[in-house]
Amino acid sequence: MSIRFEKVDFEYSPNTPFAHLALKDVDLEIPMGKVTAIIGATGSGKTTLVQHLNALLMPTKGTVEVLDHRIEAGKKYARIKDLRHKVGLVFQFSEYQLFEETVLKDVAFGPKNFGASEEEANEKAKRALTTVGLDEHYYERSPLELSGGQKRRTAIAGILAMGPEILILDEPAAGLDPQGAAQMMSLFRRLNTEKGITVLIVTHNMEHVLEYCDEVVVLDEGQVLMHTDMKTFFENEEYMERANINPPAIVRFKALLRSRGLDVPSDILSIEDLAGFLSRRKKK
Amino acid sequence: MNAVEVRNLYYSYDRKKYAVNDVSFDIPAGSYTTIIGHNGSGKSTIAKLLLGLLEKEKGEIRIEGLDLTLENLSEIRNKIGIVFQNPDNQFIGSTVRDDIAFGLENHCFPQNEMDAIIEEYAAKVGMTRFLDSEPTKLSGGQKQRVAIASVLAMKLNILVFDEATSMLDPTGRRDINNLINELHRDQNLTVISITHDIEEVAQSDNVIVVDKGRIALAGTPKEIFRHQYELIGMKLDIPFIYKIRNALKAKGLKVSDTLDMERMADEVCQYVLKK
Repeated sequence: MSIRFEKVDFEYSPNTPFAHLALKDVDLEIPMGKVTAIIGATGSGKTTLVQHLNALLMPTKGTVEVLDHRIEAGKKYARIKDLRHKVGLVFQFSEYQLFEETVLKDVAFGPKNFGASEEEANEKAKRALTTVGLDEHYYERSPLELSGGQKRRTAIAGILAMGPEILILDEPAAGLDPQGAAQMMSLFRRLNTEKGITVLIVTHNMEHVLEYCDEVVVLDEGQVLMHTDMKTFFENEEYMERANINPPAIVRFKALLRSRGLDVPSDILSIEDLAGFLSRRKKK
Repeated sequence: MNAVEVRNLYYSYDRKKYAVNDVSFDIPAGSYTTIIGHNGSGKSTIAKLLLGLLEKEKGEIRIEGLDLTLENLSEIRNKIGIVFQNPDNQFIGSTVRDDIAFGLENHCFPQNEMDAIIEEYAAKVGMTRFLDSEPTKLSGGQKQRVAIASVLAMKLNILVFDEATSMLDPTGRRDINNLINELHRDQNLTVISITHDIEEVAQSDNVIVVDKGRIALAGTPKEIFRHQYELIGMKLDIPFIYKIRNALKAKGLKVSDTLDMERMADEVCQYVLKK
C-alpha cells in the first residue's frame, strides 16, 4: 500500500475568470513508513497536493489512491469519513483552529466526532497530549492561554488522538523559534520511528529536510520536478540547483572544502560526523 | 540622532507578570537592528508598543525625538510602520491596488500621485502583474509582498518587520531581504527586524536579545555571538560557523574565530591537508 497520484490535475474555480490549474498531470508514488518532505516555491502546489490526501480537494482529472481508498475525478466519493480518520492533516498555523474551552476537550473532539465514547475519547486525548509533551497540568487550561508552540502542539494532538496511519503537516515549524521548531520536527521523526506513522511534511526549511526526512518531493508550478531520497538530493548540486533551494549550511561548507581539494565522503551530513572525519583525516 | 529611544518600558497583559520588564534601548537612525528571542520572550510586544498598538504601562518611547502619546499617535504613524508575520491579518482592499491605496489614502497622499506610487512599489516587490488580483487568491508569499509594498509605499523612515519573511519560500525570502537591504542602503530606511534567521542577524548592524521580557544582551553581532552558550540557554540558535568551530575544537582542531565560511574552509583545508 502506498500513496499514489495518477495523472492528477487540479483546477481552482474552473470555468471562471479566476480558473487556475494548480496541479498538472501529477504522477507520484509516496512510500508508506517514511518521512517525506514536500518542497517547492510558494504557489508551486504543495498545499493543494497534500489536501488531496484526505479528500479536502478532489482531483479535477486523474486518480488519487491513499491506503485502500481510491478517489477518481468526477466520481462521487462516499468513504470520506473513514479516509479522514486514517489520514490526519494539520494545517498551516493550526493553532488558529482551536475552539474548545479546555485543551483536553479540544483534543478529544476528534475521536468523539468519530464515534468514541466520552471516556474513550478522553483516554485517547490524554495519550496524544503526552505524545506531544503536554502533561496533565494542561488538560483544564484554555487553549487561548497557551503560547504559540503549545497551541500548535495541542492542534497536533487533536489529530493524533484519532490514531492516523498517515500524518500530513503543512509547514508545522513556521513561526516557531529555532528550538521550538527542532522539538516539533523531532516529534514527527519519533512518531514515524516509534509508531510507524507515515509522515508528509510541507516545508521550506532545508536544515529540517536534511535532519529529519527520508525522501524529498520537489514541486514546481504544479508539477513534480523530482522525487528522490534525501541523501541523493543533498549529494547532487545539480538537483539542488534545479529545485532552486539554498542548500543547508553543512552542504555548502562541504562544497567549499571539496573545491579546495579535500574530498569529503558523501554520506557525511552532520556537523559531528564532519568534525570526526576531519580529525581522523588529520591523524593519517 | 536616534530613530527610536526606549526608556524603562513596562507592559503586562495580565497585570500579574510583566511581558516587557524595564526595557531600555536606542536604535540609531539609518541602522539595521535585529531583535531576537524565543517565542514568548516579549519581542513582538515591544514592537507593538513602539507603534502604539499596545498602550505602555510605564516608561518612555520616543520616535525621531517625538514622545509616543495618544495625542501624537497619528504623527508617530507617519514615521514608523510595521509588517507582520501573517499577511492574512493585514488585508483590507478587494484588489492588490486597493490594498496599497488604502494606506496612502489614510496618510493623505495626493490622489494624482497615488497611481504612480502604487505601481512603483508593486514593481519593487514583483507584484505588478497581480495589481488587479484579489488578495485572497494570492499565495502566502505573494500576500506578504503586497503587505510589505503597502507599508513601504507610505514612505516612512522607520520600518519594523515582525518575522515578515518567515512564511516566504527561500526565493521569496531572498527577494524581500534584498528589497529591505536596498531600501535601508539607498533610502536610509531604519530597519528593525524581529527574526529567527540567524544569518540575517549576523549581517545586521546591531542586535538586541530579549529574554523573559528583559534585554539580555545588546551589541554588534560579533559581540553578541561571543555569548553563544548564553544564547543557547535562551533557546536561541547560533550561526553554523560557530557550531562547526565548536565541534572542531572538541576534536582538538584549532581554527580562528572568523565569521566567514570561505576563510574557515581555507583554514580547515590547510590544517588537514598539510603534509
